[in-house]
Amino acid sequence: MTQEKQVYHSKIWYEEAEVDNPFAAKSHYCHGYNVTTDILPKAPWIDYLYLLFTGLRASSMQAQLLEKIAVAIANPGMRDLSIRAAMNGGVGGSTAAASLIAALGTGAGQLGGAREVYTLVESWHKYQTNFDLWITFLKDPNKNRTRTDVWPEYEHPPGFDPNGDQCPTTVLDTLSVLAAVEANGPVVWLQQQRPALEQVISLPLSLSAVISAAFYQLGFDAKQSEMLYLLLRLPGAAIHALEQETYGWKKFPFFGSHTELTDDPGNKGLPEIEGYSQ
Amino acid sequence: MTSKNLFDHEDKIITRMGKGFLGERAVYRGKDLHHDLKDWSWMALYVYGITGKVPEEHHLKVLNFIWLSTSYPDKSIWPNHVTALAGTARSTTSLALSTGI
Repeated sequence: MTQEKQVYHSKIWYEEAEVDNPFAAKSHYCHGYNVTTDILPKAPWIDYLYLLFTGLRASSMQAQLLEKIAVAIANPGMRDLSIRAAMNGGVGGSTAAASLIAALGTGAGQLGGAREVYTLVESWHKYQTNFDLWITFLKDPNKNRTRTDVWPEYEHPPGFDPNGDQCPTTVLDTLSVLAAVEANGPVVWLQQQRPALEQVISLPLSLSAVISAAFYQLGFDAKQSEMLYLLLRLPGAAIHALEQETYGWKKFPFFGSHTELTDDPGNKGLPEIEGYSQ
Repeated sequence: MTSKNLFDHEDKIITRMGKGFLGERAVYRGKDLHHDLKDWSWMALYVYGITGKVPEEHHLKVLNFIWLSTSYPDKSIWPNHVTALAGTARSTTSLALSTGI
């Protein structure tokens, strides 16, 4: 019986095979542009990134905003949970990939992570700049949850810090820089509405809200934004993992004696094991 | 021709490890999963999957004890700490476990 040939489909990527080897590419095309002869000699990384995700050439303003986002989140800093996960990987002598996987798995979350960005960008597409719709959503972010999911329910209004009192200076600075790229864009709206939103929600705005507004301004959907947020935060994870590996475990915090066990049955001595006697 | 190896494996998967005949049966390293292996313990299946050898009962007992007695639920141990960080970040359970590994 003749079986149907299995093929992969893509609108993004096209390859021509070498004449003498069908398993090697003679040329790569990304959305119609030859990667090694058109893009590589001419395009900055950020323009190529925009092309990869959208299939379009970025305008000067779009390239500027995406680059500002990339710089803003390239290293979330050592307070960030994803960076700390990577640092644990580095100091423990894990492989490079394991440290990045630790950062991805942790940075994927709903509290300051990529899933929060997903939720916010999805909400931007629904509520745009309607203040009242945003408030209704933020006060009950699980309202439209229709099924049990791998993701837990939100325990905080997405885009706000449930453990914060004031909006941190770094968040305000980032908001100002991103808002300056385009007048009257969604980021400017967020900047203008921040005090009113914070007053109603009684929590300070977080960086994920700022970056989400910028992704929406660039026209990305929720899934694209989630991917980009994971991808663009990896440089910080990489360098902090490498640094902690060089310092070694003796210079890394260990909370063994700082752990307070609240359900302790007490010391029962050595266990009795079949076939073993002291 | 140096790419002969690639041609030999083009458009097909060749494996001794197993195959799911979906809706019909599953073969696991040469044994029928739902007939030959249906009464095995999870640990026995796991060891057989890795080694391809049918494990002896006393080996499984030792392996089970090693598994159990090294399961330290201490958050200060690095892999556990990473998993807990993922929990704090409200990631998914599968992502949290994969980060710890």
